[in-house]
Amino acid sequence: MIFPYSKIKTKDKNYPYSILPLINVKVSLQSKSAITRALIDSGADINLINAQFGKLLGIDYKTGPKTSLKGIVNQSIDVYMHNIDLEIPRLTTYKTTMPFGFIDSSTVGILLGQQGFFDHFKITFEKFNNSFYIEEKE
Amino acid sequence: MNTKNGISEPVDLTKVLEGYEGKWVVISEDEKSVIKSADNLEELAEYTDKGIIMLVPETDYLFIGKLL
Repeated sequence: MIFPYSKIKTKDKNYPYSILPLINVKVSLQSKSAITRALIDSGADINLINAQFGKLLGIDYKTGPKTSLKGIVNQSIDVYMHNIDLEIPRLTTYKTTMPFGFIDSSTVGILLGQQGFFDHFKITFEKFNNSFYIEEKE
Repeated sequence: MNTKNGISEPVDLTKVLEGYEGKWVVISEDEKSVIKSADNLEELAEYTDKGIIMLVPETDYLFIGKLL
């Protein structure tokens, strides 16, 4: 299935727009769920979800196994791992359970990374055409 | 998907999200308006089933996650 990139304004005069591979996903845990915009990030090792989703999904996110992440600024931050069900509206026909790291961050909503998301889906980026394809793994 | 000169057009969220940088928002399913915004997700609890939740990036930075 083909998806368009999304255009977001930036504060940088040299790069006033950012064109990002964003998709709507439904995340759920037991009976609680939410539809949210997520960034497909092939450079992220794992999926990340903002800690504020913990309450929405009915869990104390700090009960999960703790691990640490480090970004380009070389500063580490703790994340707490939980399995979450993910669906892509109009594409997936079933829920896929995959690990997410809950992160207390003002900059991360949801990132879809290599372990979990890229394990389950075939993603083909065509940035030159402002589009990308996602297929369920056969 | 809209095209221009044979090239797909990205979904333009610049106007819809203008002024909401750094905020949590619920946007309508047609992605043309913001239904509700707040500084944290908990404040949006009554609206999260009415649209699409998004943390609007303050895109004066780039983020790269890397597992230790």
